[in-house]
Amino acid sequence: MADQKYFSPEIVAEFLTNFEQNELDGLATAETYSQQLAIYLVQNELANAKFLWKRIPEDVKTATEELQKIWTVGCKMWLKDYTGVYTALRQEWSEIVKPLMLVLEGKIRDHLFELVQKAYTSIHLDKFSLFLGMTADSALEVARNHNWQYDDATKMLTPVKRDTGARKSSDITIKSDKQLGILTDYVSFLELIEH
Amino acid sequence: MPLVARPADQGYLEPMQVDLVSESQANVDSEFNVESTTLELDYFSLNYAGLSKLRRLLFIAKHCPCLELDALKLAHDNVKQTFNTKLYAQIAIKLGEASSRAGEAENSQMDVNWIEATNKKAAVKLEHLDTDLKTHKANTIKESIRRGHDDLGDHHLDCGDLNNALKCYSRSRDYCSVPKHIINMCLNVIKVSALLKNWAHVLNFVNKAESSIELMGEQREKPANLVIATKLKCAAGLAELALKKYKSAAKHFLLAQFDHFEYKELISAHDVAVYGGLCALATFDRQELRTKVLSNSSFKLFLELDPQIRDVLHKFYESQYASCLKILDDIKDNFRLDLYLSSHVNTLYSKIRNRALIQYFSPYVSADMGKMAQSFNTTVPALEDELTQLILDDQIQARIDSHNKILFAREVDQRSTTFEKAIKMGKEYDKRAKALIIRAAVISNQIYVKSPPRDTNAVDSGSSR
Amino acid sequence: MEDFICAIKTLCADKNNQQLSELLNKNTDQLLQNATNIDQVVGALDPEQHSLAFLALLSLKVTFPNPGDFELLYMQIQQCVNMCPAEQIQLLKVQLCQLCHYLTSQLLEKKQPLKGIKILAMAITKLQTSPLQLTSVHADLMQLCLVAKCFKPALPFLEEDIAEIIKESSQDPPSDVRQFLLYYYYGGMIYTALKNFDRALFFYEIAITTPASDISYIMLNAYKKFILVSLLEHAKIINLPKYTSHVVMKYLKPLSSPYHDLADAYASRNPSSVNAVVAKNVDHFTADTNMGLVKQVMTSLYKVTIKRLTKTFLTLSLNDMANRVGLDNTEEAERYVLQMIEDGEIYASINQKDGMVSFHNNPEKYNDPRMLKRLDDQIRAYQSLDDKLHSMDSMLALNPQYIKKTNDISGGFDDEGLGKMKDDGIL
Repeated sequence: MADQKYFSPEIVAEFLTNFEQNELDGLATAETYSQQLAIYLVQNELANAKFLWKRIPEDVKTATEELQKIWTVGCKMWLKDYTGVYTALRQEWSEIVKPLMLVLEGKIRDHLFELVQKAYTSIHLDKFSLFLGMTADSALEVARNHNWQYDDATKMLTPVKRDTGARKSSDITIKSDKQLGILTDYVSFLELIEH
Repeated sequence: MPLVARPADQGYLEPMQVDLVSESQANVDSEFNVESTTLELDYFSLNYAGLSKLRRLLFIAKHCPCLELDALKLAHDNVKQTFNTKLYAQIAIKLGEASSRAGEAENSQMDVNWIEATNKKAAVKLEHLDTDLKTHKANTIKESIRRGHDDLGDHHLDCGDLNNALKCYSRSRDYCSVPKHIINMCLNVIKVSALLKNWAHVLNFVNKAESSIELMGEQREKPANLVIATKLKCAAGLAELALKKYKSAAKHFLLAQFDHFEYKELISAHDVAVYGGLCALATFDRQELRTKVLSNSSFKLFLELDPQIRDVLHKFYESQYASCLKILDDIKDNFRLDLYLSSHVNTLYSKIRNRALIQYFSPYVSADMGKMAQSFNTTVPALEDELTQLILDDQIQARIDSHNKILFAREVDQRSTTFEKAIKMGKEYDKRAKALIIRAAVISNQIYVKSPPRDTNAVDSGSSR
Repeated sequence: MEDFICAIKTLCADKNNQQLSELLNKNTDQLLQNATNIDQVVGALDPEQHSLAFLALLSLKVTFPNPGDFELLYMQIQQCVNMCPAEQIQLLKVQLCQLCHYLTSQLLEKKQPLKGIKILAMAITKLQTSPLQLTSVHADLMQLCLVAKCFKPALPFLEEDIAEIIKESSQDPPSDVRQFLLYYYYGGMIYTALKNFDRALFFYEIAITTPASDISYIMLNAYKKFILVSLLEHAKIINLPKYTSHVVMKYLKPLSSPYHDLADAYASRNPSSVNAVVAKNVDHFTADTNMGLVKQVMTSLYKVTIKRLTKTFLTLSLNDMANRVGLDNTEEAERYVLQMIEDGEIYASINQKDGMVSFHNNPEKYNDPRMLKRLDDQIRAYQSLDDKLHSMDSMLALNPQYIKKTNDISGGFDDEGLGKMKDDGIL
């Protein structure tokens, strides 16, 4: 079975380009459609996924049950049905899409965890476990690992905010001499307008 | 309703009267009744004159059952001193109805003989005036012709024929030889236009008259002319009020000179205090309120005529909103019985209330909404709604902590807002510049949508989706 | 026949285009009157070496009432577009555009739009000498992409900011209004489908503001979509530029009154009046194939109201929020808030314990290098745009025609755009 490392973002993107070109050349098959659709979901390109689903020929759709199932996942994502998406994901996937669907599930869980962290100052454990698609016990463990407080009596979790100040800004630094250069550019441009 | 509604009996109009508007506009929100009032009708006899007095009395009669009979009696007595038989007939009928309702029978008879006699007298007088005018015209004595027109105008007004009065007054215009005459003509036109509720016309002639006064040089300071100046301010104020331009109405009323006030045919000094005071409260900020109203020595004298309005102004300025609003509430009904103020009372009151809310909060960083609600005689949820609207209208820079019921001043981060604005501007510039580049290409390629042949332009939009 | 082919090959090798065109024109009556003959000649030619003849013959073939087997023709066109060198194609732009238009209409008829996308994309790149040029094939490509519901191949073209329109031939007729309007209309539709509303509005605007003395249906349809997308993006109908032809404003409004009614109801922020307008005009919207957008407009109203709440409240109970917004219950309110947080439309946090929502300010402080970089990039882009406008301006000032016109009568020339630029206060 293909391991997840194999599906690095670059390789996935390359696969996608191939699928897209194949489709334009009229060479698409049920398998390539399935993978193409799954990749769109992994990349969170829901509009592209939706329109791909719409343009897949009817006969291919009816003949390929799995395609339908992948799109059910997409549908839930499109509708922001955060809790229903896990049910849709829990399927016996064929080998060709299984790794992608696993990556997708991980991504969705990470995303929803971050969303809860951002959007809630307190959340009921049951709701939280729905967001993560796991049992209350496992969800509680995830929360504890992130140092979230839990009130047994009310079953309320208090998410710890991420430090928003620590953005990844280190990779873009502008030296002061360059800054001066930029400023000079602006001023000379403005003077040009004056005339 | 037609665009320009004109009464059927209205004859030929002078070219300068084109913007005549019918009265039907004013009757929109006229269905209400006031149960109790502190108004005293004696006041009317002293402070108003002419048709304006009659109209005011009839307005009260219509909207205040407890004063109806007395108001109609007063109107009845007054109308009998004029030639206005039509209005007499109306009043007599109303009085008859009201009297029988009250169980008093003695007033219920319409004096048909009086009507006949008066009509006859009026006709004779009209003929007389007409002949006079013709003689003057034959002799081409300018001044006499002007007076002749004026006299005719006065007579028509006395008969209640406003349109003909306006026509006559306007005609005297051609025979004016000195600024004084022009001013006199303007005042006449203003008087009739106000009765016709043609406010644009009123403002127009106030301007004319004021520029004529300018021409009089040192004579301006004569008491007679100061009276005229105040009349003009009051007429303009009234017109602006009617046109819902409250701030400018307030400014006009505030320029009226108490010592030279004399305008019974339109408004009373007490009205100046009330109209001016309310409009100022509704539209002025604290600073303006102090400099233009409270320290205005002439307006102070007007305010002495209505201590309640005076108190309201002072309490508002001293931020005692609860008692200020309380007094306003108490006297609201009196205002609703005022012919010119009635339809504006609700608007002015809500404006005043909003001003109070804004001012109340202005010194604070945060305010307890419970206390605030108390100060404004309201509940917290209702206050929340009021504040929401004010915040959305950008009148209060604040946000509501609905959980703790506290109103917080919003600190605006100037730096961030500037950045946001700059980025928005940049985007807009980008879009416009790109559109222009395309447009330049379009024009140089002569791309142009023309009518025929029609079908080349038709798009088969069905096949596109 | 053999001689004919030989002659073509020789002329092509000598690059004697003049004689080549004479030869092809002369033979129109005799040899080249049916598709089979042409196929025979084309079959003997190499599209790379004899591209002019190849292209010319194909463009002749598609004018026949019966051009023969479509599969063959499709392959011939594909070969032609893929293999003919760009500089040869530049010489026969009209013919290539003809081929493309023909191919588009055939594929649409046969319901195989996907098959044409690659060919047309290639054709456009070969017609262009710069990616900023608009061709009449652009609209065809957009149409195929729309019908195929396959938008990605369209984006590289749509993202270019057009600065020039290719004249296909040196003679009249002047450029095709219809293809121009269609490109911007279809482009707007693609951006709308991909929810890039800002860009979609720009495209619709170009279509609507095209100089006009009459209204085309394309403009009308673009205007209707413009209204809906404008409501989605700005919660009101945004203004069109001042240079919009007055006929447009005069006729478009009355022709799209259901849309204006919708916008008026929307401005009242009252969901039930919006629903009433929609219910009344549902047939109209459906007939215009705009019902999907209308539904989006309906749900966006809740979001607009929630956004307004963030301006007035620091905290608000979910219950109050549901009441103020007109939602059924607190769960629904929570769902909306969560979705809007996810999409970055509001900054808020939900407290389930107290059933409250707290609203925050935009955390962006515009004080880090990342933002500075972004700003610098944008400023530079605007500067180069400004330079471009200046050079266009001086070009125009040097144009003899322009000088003549401005000397004749001041203000007679169509310079509403550039001339007014500075007055509009954008600069």
